[in-house]
Amino acid sequence: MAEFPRRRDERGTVTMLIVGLAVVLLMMTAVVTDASAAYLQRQGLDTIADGAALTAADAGASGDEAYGVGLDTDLRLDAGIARAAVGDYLRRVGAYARYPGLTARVSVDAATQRVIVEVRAPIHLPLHVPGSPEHADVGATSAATVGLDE
Amino acid sequence: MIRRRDERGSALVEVCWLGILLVLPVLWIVMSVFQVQRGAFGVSAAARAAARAYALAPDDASGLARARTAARLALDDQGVHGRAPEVRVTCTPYPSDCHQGTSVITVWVHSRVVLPLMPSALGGNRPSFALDATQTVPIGQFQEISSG
Repeated sequence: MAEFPRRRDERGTVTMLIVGLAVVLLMMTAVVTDASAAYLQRQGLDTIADGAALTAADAGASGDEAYGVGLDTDLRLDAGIARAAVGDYLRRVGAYARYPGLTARVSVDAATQRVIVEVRAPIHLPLHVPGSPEHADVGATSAATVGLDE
Repeated sequence: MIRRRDERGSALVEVCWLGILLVLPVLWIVMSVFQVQRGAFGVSAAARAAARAYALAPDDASGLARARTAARLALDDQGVHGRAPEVRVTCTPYPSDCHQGTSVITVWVHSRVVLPLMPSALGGNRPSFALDATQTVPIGQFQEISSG
């Protein structure tokens, strides 16, 4: 008599296995989709950070040293102009419209005369997987300097 | 004993029906998602390569040719073969001279990924997924003056 309950318990295990496999596959698909969305947003922010840093370094270096001091030094960066150039560039390329909630941080490294631009934007994950974050930010950092060719 | 005979073969039936009805569509979804993901990454990389090639070219005409070649190479690298990607270039504030100083170049790349295992016999064109990506590159204010 002890055999019967155990055999009844094992009914449907194949169904459970197959349904479980399908659920796991679908969840993995959702994770891959979310990861792709995050990766693509990081690529987009990379682009924006690169462009902003290049524009800022370009605008911040007035080039006066080339006439006053000589060509043996890198061009000095004006932090105020660089910062304004980043804001202007982000508006110009429509970054705020494409990534709502975008924030940009600009700093000028005096020692190396580099402009460092850090942009962050919240990401809306297309599919929700149990355990995935409710709010996530994606960020990108880029740096640029202006050098003089001999 | 009667119950035991009734249950004979039920696992086989479950595997057949669930396998066909559930697992095959799920596998198709997984394959399609990976195909689209590959295409999306490829188009993104193609836009990046095309914009860089365009910005480094000496003038607009050769820039466009190089951008098209770069986009096709980048998509080939990602395994997205088939039709050549569509490449469009716009620039502000000088639409007719993209390589002028302080210009901002925007390169738009568009391609399609054909979904797997969908024969054209189902009607019309094979179902495909449209993908596009843009890349923006600024041109510096300091420009080398060409001879002349």
